[in-house]
Amino acid sequence: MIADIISKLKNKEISALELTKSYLNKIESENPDINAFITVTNDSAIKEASNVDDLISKSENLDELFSKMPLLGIPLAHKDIFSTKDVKTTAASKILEDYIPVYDATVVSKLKSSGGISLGKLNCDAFAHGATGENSDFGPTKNPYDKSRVAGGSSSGTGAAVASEMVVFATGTDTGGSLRNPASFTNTVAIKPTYGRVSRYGIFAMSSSLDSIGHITTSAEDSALVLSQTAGFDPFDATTSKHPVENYLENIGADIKGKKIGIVKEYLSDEIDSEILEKTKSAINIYEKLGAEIIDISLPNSEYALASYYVITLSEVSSNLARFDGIRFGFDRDKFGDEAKRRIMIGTYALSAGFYDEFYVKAQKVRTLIIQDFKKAFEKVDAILAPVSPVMPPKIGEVVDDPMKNYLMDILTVPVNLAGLPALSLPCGFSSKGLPVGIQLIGDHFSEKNLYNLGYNFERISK
Amino acid sequence: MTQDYSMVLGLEIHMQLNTDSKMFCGCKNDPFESDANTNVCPVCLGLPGAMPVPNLNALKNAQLFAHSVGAKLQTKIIYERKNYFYPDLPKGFQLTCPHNPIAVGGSLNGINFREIHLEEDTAKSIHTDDLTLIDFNKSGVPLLEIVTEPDFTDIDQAVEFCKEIQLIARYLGVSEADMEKGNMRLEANISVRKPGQVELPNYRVEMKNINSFSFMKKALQHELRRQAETLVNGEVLVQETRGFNEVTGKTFSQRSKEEANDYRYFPEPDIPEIEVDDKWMSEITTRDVLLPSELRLKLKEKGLNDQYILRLVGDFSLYEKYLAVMDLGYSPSESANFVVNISEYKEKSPLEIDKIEKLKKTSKITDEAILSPIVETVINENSKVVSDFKSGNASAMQFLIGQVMKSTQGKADAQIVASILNKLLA
Ligand SMILES: [Zn+2]
Repeated sequence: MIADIISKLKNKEISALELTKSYLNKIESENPDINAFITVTNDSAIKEASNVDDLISKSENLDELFSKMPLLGIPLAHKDIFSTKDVKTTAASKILEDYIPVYDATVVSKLKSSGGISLGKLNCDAFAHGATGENSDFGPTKNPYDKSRVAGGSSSGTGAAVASEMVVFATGTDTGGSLRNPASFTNTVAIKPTYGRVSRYGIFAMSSSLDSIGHITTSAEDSALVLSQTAGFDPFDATTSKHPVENYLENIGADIKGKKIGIVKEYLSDEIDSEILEKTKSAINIYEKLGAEIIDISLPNSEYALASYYVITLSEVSSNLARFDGIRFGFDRDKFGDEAKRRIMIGTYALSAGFYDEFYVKAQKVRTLIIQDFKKAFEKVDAILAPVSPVMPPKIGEVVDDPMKNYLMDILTVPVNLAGLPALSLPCGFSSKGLPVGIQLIGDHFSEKNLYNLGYNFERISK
Repeated sequence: MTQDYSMVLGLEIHMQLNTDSKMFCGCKNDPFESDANTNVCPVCLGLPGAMPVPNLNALKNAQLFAHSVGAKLQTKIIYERKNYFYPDLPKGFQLTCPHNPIAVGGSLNGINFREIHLEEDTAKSIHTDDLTLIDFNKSGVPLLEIVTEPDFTDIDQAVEFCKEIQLIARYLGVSEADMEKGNMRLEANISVRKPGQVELPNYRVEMKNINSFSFMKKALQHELRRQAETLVNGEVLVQETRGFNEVTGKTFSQRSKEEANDYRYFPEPDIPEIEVDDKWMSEITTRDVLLPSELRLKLKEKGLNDQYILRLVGDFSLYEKYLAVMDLGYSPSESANFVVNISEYKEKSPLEIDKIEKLKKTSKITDEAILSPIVETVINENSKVVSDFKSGNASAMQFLIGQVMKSTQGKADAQIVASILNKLLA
């Protein structure tokens, strides 16, 4: 999709201003219903689009211009936990209702210098706490495929905005499935890159050792292009890797014959929705047809992943939210929602003297075992194929008052975060009720290029 | 009796390092001179999304210090979050390395180190009548924490130890270590043991906000006496934090242990474990540095007396002046005499000192015809001393020579003056 738009801009079939305005119009007509945006930055978007048109009209070498700025003129939006200079950033929580950051997150400034035009800030679960998007103080985001249902979470606005074509692509974070889950609910593509591949600087931390910065697009190709702009070492994030950023688009369509794809027996249990299991099996068939070798594998410690994940996450959350101390940022801590309070309390408890070893230290040990499970698996396979969500998109209100049910929605996604691995979530057709179903491809550390190659080939057949 | 009780004393010394930038961000490290809240950024303001990146120069300076005082450097440093609420702590936690610090063990002058950490300083609260203002220039300044074992047996030893730590930091150039400014701060943990008691007491009193060495001495002396008296009176001592009021000369309770915090330490996920490899380690341990203890030996070998050594070692700029004077061809003791004793040379540069000295030598008055009348005047004005001289008092001669020198601004040749005196008084 991005490639098509770029060629239209290059051939002057469309101006950046027309393009931006058409997306802003779409936001105006669709958003009141979908509630994907918390803030729409109309004026700055129009100004930036005009600047892009200036650049294009003055350029003597458009190829050079677009190779320097591969996203020139492309309308996008950021999850509202990305710091955006001079643009309100709420984390979807009333405690930050009026907070205007003084700086841009690294990814925000990278996408700016790639030429992208931000149309605003996207709804999500407050502080990214949730799997349905309903835990937003600005109302739930609705699923464009069935507005009585959730769009997934926590990057709910990210998935819904891309699915309803309010933007070309959108950024988000994935701490335990927060990009893959909404992508699977909205028939879109999400990348959760390797931990340390994309800078976290400037993005409100939920769980610092698990947060992964990615995006949702409508195709694997677009996803690869955007990642090539956001990935890389950042001197402001000590956990980013100096591992070179590959050209993800190069040979993206190469034959995948002989590639080994692992199927995890623990991920295909009876607890998974039967239609989702069926769709996953059809995806396996497609890969077989494409010449991939399907190999059964086991990740024996999977059953402990969720418990380990929540101990680590909530511990980190309790500390990360301490800075909203009621002294700065305008509002008191009573503006925290129930879920934030719940997480602060559980996390504080898990870190307390006398419980630390029993909870946090033990959870980290489990995490090591899970990493070892994956390492062993990747000795045998090039990627792992699995469902994303164990359930179809719930009705709005269906699970909101049941934290356990909410937490269980992450069961197939959190092991990837615990191990810091990359995963690509891809659309895999629709259920009998017409609801989107997704699958995910999980790779070894820094194997995003391989995932895009596998994803691109899958899309060609499944679309 | 109170003197039967022996002291158990350990110290915690905090020192701000003087690196160019702060501990976890690129902000200028200048907590004292800059206007309030000018050296700040998202990181040291604790804005959401900001992340700490450790300052390797600060780490290396901390290691150099730790190595130089005899502490044992560690190969793995892990930053952890110390979670607690305070208005001057914008993140709600302080970054420190409590379990995998810069150095563990080792000793200086018989006092063992427990550990040496490198952490971040907090912001500065400024209290006015109706407001508390916060200056974040100090937030994130590299702060070295030196913790000793309770090895001190007397208070003077502890004061000397702190002075030595201060000197070493200044010699290495890693900190101004200025107690008055507050970039060096002391805390003492003090308790007492009954005669024959081997195990450590079951309480300790923490003395905070010690802002000078003389304050430290007074506060500890008082506290030691108070504790011994309390026990003699059959009362029980409790774990608490006490302050010292210089006006009343007494310590007072500030906080009892019931209010102790649970800091909920856990490893800072934003800072990967720091591995100090062999190359890094040898860069620190092979660095050519001069320590005060080495300088003392060196000066002793030059034949200088203890008074000179104390002054020269204690004031590195004085020592540098001493070296510069020596470079101009003066002997060690001459040079030391010039820079330590002669007050008119205090404000003079080595070259100026040399000029004056040369002038003195070249313009010596040796002509008896000029000196004789001056000597006669001195004899006439000091009849009492003259009679002392005549009755055999040798130092009277020195005095008379001195008087001649005085009236010739030191230009008279002392030997010729002596011979004139001998002649005239014979
Ligand atoms: Zn700063």
